Order: sequence, then C-alpha cells, then structure tokens
Amino acid sequence: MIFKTFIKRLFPRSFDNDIYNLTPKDLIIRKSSNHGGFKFGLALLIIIFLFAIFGPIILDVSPYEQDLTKRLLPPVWKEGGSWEYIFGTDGNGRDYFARILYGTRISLTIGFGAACVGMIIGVTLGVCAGYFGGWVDQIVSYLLTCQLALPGLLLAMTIVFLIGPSITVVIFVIGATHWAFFLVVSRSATQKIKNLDYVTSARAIGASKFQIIMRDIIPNTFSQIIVIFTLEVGIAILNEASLSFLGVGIQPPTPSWGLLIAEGKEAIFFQPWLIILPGIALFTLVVSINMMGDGLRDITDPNSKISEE
Amino acid sequence: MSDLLNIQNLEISFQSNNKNLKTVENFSINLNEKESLGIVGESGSGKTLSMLALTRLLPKQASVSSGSIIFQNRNLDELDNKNFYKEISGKKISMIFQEPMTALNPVHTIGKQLLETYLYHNNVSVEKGIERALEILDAVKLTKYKQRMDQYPHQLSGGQRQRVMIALALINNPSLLIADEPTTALDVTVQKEIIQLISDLRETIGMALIFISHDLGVVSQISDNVVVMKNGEIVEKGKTLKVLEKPNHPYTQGLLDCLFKLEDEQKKNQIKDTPIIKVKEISKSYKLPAKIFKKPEIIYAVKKVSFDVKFGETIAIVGESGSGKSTVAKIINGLINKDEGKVEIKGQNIEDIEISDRAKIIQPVFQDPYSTLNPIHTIGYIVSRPLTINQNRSESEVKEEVIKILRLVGLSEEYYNRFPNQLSGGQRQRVAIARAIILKPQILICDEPTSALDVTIQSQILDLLNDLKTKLNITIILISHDISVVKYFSDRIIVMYNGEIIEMGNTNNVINIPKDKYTKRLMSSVFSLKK
Repeated sequence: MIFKTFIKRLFPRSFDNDIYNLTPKDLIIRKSSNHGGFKFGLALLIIIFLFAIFGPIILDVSPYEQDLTKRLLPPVWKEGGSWEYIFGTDGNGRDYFARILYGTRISLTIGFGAACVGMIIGVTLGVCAGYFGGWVDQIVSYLLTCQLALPGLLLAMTIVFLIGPSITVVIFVIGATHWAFFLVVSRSATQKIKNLDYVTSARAIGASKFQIIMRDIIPNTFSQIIVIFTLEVGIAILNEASLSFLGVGIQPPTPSWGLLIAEGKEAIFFQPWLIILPGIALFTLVVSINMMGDGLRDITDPNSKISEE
Repeated sequence: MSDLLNIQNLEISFQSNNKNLKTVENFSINLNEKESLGIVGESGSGKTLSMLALTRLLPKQASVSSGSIIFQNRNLDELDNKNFYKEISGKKISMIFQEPMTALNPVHTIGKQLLETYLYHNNVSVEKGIERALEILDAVKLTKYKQRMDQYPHQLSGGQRQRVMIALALINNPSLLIADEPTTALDVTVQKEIIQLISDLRETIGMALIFISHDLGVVSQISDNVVVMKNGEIVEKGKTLKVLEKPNHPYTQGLLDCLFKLEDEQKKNQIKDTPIIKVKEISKSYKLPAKIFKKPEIIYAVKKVSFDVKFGETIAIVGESGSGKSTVAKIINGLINKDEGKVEIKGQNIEDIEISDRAKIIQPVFQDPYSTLNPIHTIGYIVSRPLTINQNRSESEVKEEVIKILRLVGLSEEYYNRFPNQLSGGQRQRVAIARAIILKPQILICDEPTSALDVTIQSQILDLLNDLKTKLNITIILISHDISVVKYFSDRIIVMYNGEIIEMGNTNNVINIPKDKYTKRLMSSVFSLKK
C-alpha cells in the first residue's frame, strides 16, 4: 500500500482515470504498480543490489582474513555461535557472512554481464536473420543448430580450461554459450514486425536498413527480449555456480556462491550451513529475478488488462 | 403472426476490477416469426454483444445485469445452462459468425462437424444424420456437395466455408438465425451470393433472421425492420423502408448522408496530358518451396501489366483479394522488385531514382490504421521523420512544419506529443496521411485507405483525401474493392483479376457499361439502397 501511494505521488499522470490519456510509459508504470509478483521480485532484487554495493563499504568485514584458531564456528542461531561471526566461519577461519556478501557482487556481475553478452550476440544474429532472411537466415539457423547440439556446460568448461579462469573469461564464456533464446525470440519477432505497415512506410520515406532496425524493429522487440534477459541472468548465475563448483569458474580465494558451495561440500554432514547459506542466497536471487521477469512479461504484453485502480 | 422473440430492457455490463461498465443499455426488440431484422451500427456500438447475450456466448467479463429475454413464450432467464444448450442454442437459435476462416475446426472433416451438431440435438442414427447433412449441403448450394463431406476446411475457399457455416447453423431447422456480419470478410462478388442465399433460405425454411451489419446497403436488401445502434443504445427502430426514407435520429441521418454523398460529383483536378507514371508489362512471380522430384511451382502475382497515369489524375485499381492490385502498387512505389518490365516515373526508371528523391515524389498510405504507426514513437516523431531523414533543417523549423501538416489533416497541435495507442482509427489514418504528404509528394498511393474504418469515419477520410488532392495537386492511385468509393473518387478505373488487367477506362464507362464478364459481376455486386 505504501509503495503504491509512493508511486502514485511520483507519477500522478499514470493514474489518470481516462485511459486514453496515458502514454505507453504511463501504462507500464500503472500496470507494474498493480502486479504483486513484479513488485516483490523487484524489491528483493533492489535489496540484494544494495547489499552487494554498500554492504562491504559499511560493514567492516574481510572475506580473506584467516584466523585458524576460529575454524568452522557455527552461525549465531546454533549452539556455540556468536554475534561476532553471524554466519560462522569456514574451514580456514574466514568470516562466512563477509564471504557471502562479497560473493553477491561476483554473482550479480557474472549474471548480468553474461546475460548482456548473450543478448548482444543473440539479438544481433536474430534481428539480422529475421530482417534479411534468405541465406543470412540459413547461416544463422545453422549456427543455432550447432549451438543447441553442443553440451553447454562441457563446452564452457573446456574453453575456461584452455584460456584460464578469471571473472572476465567466465562472463564471456557463459554469455557466448547462452544466446539461443535471444536469437529465437528476436528472429521471430523481427519476422513479424518487418511486414507491418510502419516498416514499409519507413522504407518509403527513405530510411536506411540500419535506421529501420534501430528505430522500428529493435524497440518493438524489447518487451520480449527483456523477459528472456531476466531468465538468462538466473541461468548464468547458476551456470557460474556449476563452473565454480567444478573448479573451472571463479578461483579461490575469491568468494563466489558456487565456489562456497564447492568448498563446503566436504563438511556437508557436520557443518551443513556452509552449503545451505550460499544455497539460500542463490535461491533468493534467482527467484527474485525470475519473478521480476514474469512480471515484466505481463506488464509489457499489450494484450494484458489495464487495471482500473 | 405471433411473437417469436421479445427482448425487454437488456443491459450488459463489463466487470473490470471494481468498476461496472455498461456497454449495452435499454436494448428492447420484438421479432415476429419469419420476420427479418437488421441491426446497424459501427464497431463498439454493442450490436454483436447484445446478440451474444441472447445465445449466452458473452465473454467472461461481461454479464447481463438486467432485462428479460422471452423466446417462443418461454422466459430464457429461467433456463439453466444445461437445458439452454440442449434445447435452444444450436437447435432453435443458430448463429453465423464473421470470420469463416477460423469458425470451422481445421482438424475435422466437414461431414464430421455437421454430424456432430445434428446428432447432439437429435436422437437418430448416423445414416439419417448423413442423409440430413447431404440435404443441407445441397440446400446451401455448395458445389460437388457429396465429396465435401470428407474434405477438411482448408480445402475450401472463404465463400465455400461460409456456406458450410450456414449449413451448420441450419441443420437443425432453427426458428431464428443470427448472422453477425457474415459477408464482411468475403470478396464483394462472393458477398452478393451469400446474402442472396441467406435470403432465399429464410423463405424456404420459414425462419426469422437477425442480420448484424455495418453496411446500410446490405441491411436494406435483406431486412423488413431495422434497428440502429450507437454507443450501446438503440437510437432508432422501425420498418426498413421508413427509416431509410425518413430517418428521425441525426445519427441515422449521418449514416445515410455518408452513403448518398458517394453518389455526388466530386472536385476534379486539372489533368495534364503527359503521363507521370508509365508502367510497361511488369510481372512479378513467387516460387513455392520446391518439393523433392518436382519442379518448383511458380505463382504469378502480377502478369504483364501496363498502364499510364497522367499528371493530376486519380486512378483506381479494383479487384478482389489476391488479384495483384497491392503488388502493382508496391512495385510502382519501389517497395518490391519486379521480375520483368519497366516502371517510369517522370521519365526516369524507378530503379535509377535515389531513394531519398523517390520519397519526395511518391508516398504510400496503407489500409490498417493499427499497424501503420509505430506504437513506441510519438505522433510528432512519426510525422517529422520523413523531414529529418531527407532534409537538414533545424528542430524548431521541423516542429513548425509538422504542426502545419497536422492542422492540414484536421488534427490539432496537442496531438504532437501523443502516442498512437491514444488515437482512434480515423485519427491514426489522418496521421498516416500527414506522414505521407509532409514531403509534398506528387503521387500518393492509397491502398484501401478506408476499408478498415467505420462508415462515418470513412467518409471523413475520403473528404480529407479529396480536399488534399485539389489543394496540393496530387496524383492518386487508389486501390480498393469498394466500388462506391471508387466511383466517388476516381477519374479512371483499372480492373484486375488474377494478376492481369481485364478492363480499363473512364470511371463512368466501366461502371455503367462494363464489357468484361468479371467486371459485370463486380459492378452488380454493389449494394445500393433499396427504394
């Protein structure tokens, strides 16, 4: 309720009773303020972002500092836990809370970075294939078939193994193996849009192919691409976790959630929080992104109903 | 004659979150047996909704909030859904819909769909059912009706499918048939046959008919009584002839004026003798995807078409869908490449003209007001785009020019920052025209510019085009299937059929003394008001 009043105060125009006075932007604001799942996902994501950015600055904790006398301390709610180490410590006596906090940064960077790389590759290929058709389309479709036939994780492992692991490499490798969804969606959307009258009339007024693609086609595929984007962010974060778990992703001592889970697996029976805590963090982030993505799909769908409130 | 149907004060409201929107109010009609009633109104006037309420096919959000429906002396409100579908719907009351392409289930044969309807309501053997199905297919004059039983919907043309739909509706001998714009999606020549068929069948079967249409001409042919609806209310009702002769309500008057105006003379441009466009034997074909061991099939969209257009002339290309008229227009506009032939504009080959120069000579206006404007840009941006792409001018100059053009097409300055979804169909079409004329082209290609609009809006847009034509001295190529529009608007007519020109000449000559067989059929399919 508070959120809604806030939004209403911020964008009074969006809540005009006469729907015909609303611009597309007003409509999106109005619909999103009525979509529970979207609001929840977005709020959660914002909190996670704030944690990742400001947490390490405000809280004076270090994820690298070792104190071997305080190995494997339990979290505060367990017997023997203390407020000094809220989430306890790991096998090397490092503050687990600090490691998860710093891991958020890594996971978010990789998730959004890899999804961006994938989006740039996929949308470029998809829009070209859809707009130009013919042999361009055939080549792109062939590339897509190859991509889909290759086992993604194995390929990523091989490449990271050959080049050598670092955050940048992991981002690009995950991005380069996750563009199939972007391609399929943007290709079919482009094929539909390019036959609409406004594209034909843009050709008639002398707009170049580049102008048409940038001004008419891509902005109109945006609502579909953004949904795929949120989906891919979740997938990329999970992928990084798998890669790190297998030892070819982020290298220790850099804290990443996947790596934390990998390191914790030896202690799974006696210190289960070492796996459960980063697991919960991973789960929360992916769920919040997916909820937001689902919400965005509903909100940007022009056929969805406009709420009267 | 006794009352067949009596609807009193029907009110339909849409439920949308917390609000109730009344879409139909005070809808009362009375229908005798064997009588036919026409319901006229533009889109959104509630004419279809009120009939869906009668057949209980209303969309989920809509509900009947008050009113009574009495059919054959039974109050339908007292029937529960199960009994209603068993006893009334499909048996006593049948409905035909607008879109024959989607109304039949594509995975079942025609015969199966007919049998399903018949056997559900009648407790008879399959053999009897087949007998009845054949009988009704014969009655709707479906050619080769015996073979059609085993065919699937995609094997039939639009007109044939609509005949099957009629057969489906009539197989149980209903006492009331509701036809919801049954001919709107069909070609004009087919339209006439279907209306004739419905009218004949009504007499032989002896049923009542409710005919929903936006076309007063069609309604005047088929119905005894007429109801005119506007914004969910009945504004006028009475005997068809009386209403058409002496309309009481200004709205009906306006509708009629729109029709009659098309019979008036129009302003003419100064026509020079020199041709501005020369089209010589152009052809365009499409290859169907090749099958193994077969030569790829080639389909000609346009076959050796040649004609000239003079400076200042308005030339109309008419023909049914698939006749190649839009392809010709796109070739002249340089939007499609032709296979053979030559198109010269002001003595220059179309391929040799720079795209930016071509944009200043020739511009298109399209049919669908909803896809013609990019939904994410403002009206100001859409209209100014031709200027910013082709000319280097300062922002304030461009804005001034755009507002000037918007005024010219009858839109005020406040539309500059609006988005297409805030505009009505007619307003969008005005914006599309503004975009086309802002570069001051000499030729305008209008591809069915009014056929997606309501009658009253249609005549406003035609007026606007007419006005611009003389003001800016534009040569217009008008593509249409609507003869009355063509007659009102054009100096010359080109009739196309299957990609070829079959007749060409002065508008009056072609309309009054058509030579070709197809042209004759086309001209006789125009519904003028019956008097």
